Amino acid sequence: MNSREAKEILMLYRPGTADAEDSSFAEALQECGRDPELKRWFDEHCAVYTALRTRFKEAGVPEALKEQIIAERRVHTQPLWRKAAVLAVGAIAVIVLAIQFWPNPAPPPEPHDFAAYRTELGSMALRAYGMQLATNDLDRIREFFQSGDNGGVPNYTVPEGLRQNAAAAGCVAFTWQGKPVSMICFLSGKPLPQGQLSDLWLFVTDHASIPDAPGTAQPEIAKVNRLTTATWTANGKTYVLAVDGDEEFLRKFL
Amino acid sequence: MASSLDFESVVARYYEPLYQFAFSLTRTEADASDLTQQTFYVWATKGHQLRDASKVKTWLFTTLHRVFLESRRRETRFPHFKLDDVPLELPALSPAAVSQLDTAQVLQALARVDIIYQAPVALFYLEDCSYKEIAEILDVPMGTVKSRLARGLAQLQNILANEPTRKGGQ
Repeated sequence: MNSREAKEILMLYRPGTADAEDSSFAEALQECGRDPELKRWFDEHCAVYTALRTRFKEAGVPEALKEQIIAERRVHTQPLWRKAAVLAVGAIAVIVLAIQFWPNPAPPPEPHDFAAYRTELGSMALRAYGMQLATNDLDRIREFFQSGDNGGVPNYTVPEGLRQNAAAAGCVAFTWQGKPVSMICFLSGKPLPQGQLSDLWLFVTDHASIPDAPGTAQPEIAKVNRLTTATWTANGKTYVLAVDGDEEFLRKFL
Repeated sequence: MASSLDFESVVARYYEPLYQFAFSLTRTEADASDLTQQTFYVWATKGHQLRDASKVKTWLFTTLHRVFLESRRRETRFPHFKLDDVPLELPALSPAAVSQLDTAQVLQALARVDIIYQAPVALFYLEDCSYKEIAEILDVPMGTVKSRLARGLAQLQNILANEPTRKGGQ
């Protein structure tokens, strides 16, 4: 093994880890003992590795992240009796489906409940998305969904708080589990984080698409990741308003 | 069986390294938090399908990486790479030069590395995973991990060596 071959192997060596016991590094490490120039290079490599590792490890974990993950799990947890009932119904369904589709069993379905829907909306709001229509004119947004050519859900009501205290930014039509959803984006007036197009999002879908969504006009408040959401149903439409802020901030737009 | 593992203990054990991996890929606290939460959401709904409890760690890292790639696919198409064009030699980058960089600069540099190399490089520096585990997470052979790492490290260090805000070091 020459010095160049040893360097190619040792450039992947991580000091202070189990790599020291990894036999694939053993011969190259021995070569360091015989070649002072290689040893100097290796010492420098280890020092650079340690310095860069420190930079990677410096990213502090947000304080409340663990609690948020566990709290989100609780939202999805069902009572035991309901689990048992679901399991019983599920077992029967599996048997029926297995008989019906035995040679080509269908893949397991994705979660199809309101909690999964709301989580997806929260992720969608914070992801990079392209506005299908960028405008501050709510009438144009309404026409966009009303036309029937662009998807989404027409015939919705924008809350008075949003009309009064926020400016429209645009809209997106998409589907969740095959059901149409209208996403109307607003600006609260606060400075936006870099890369973010809006900080208020109103999602509208037919209540029939998500039957377990809250069914009353009284908004139900919940945290989804860093967003706060309000959910209500009126005239057969289920609304989710998501804001990049706390509950007090959210209530200004209801 | 993995389904016997308590959700909270899995979260407590892995949320920090998963977040750090997510942060190295996304570079923002919000996106990294979302990615970590999404990973545990998938674990909560599908983790029971994992038969081997010893694979929980690689399962979580694999899932996080897949969720990340999925979100990236929505934003941009993958560029094509000419692997042979990338020099394998590491550039001269001194420890003193690295010490003048902050985490944001290092992660910005990682973001400029070809996307196919970003995850292996992040896992290399976070050192929570052996090479065997990195290969499982990325679902590629060990040899591919090493070649991607060699090229990814060369790209990263090349970018850092030419970092304009750095004082000296070449």
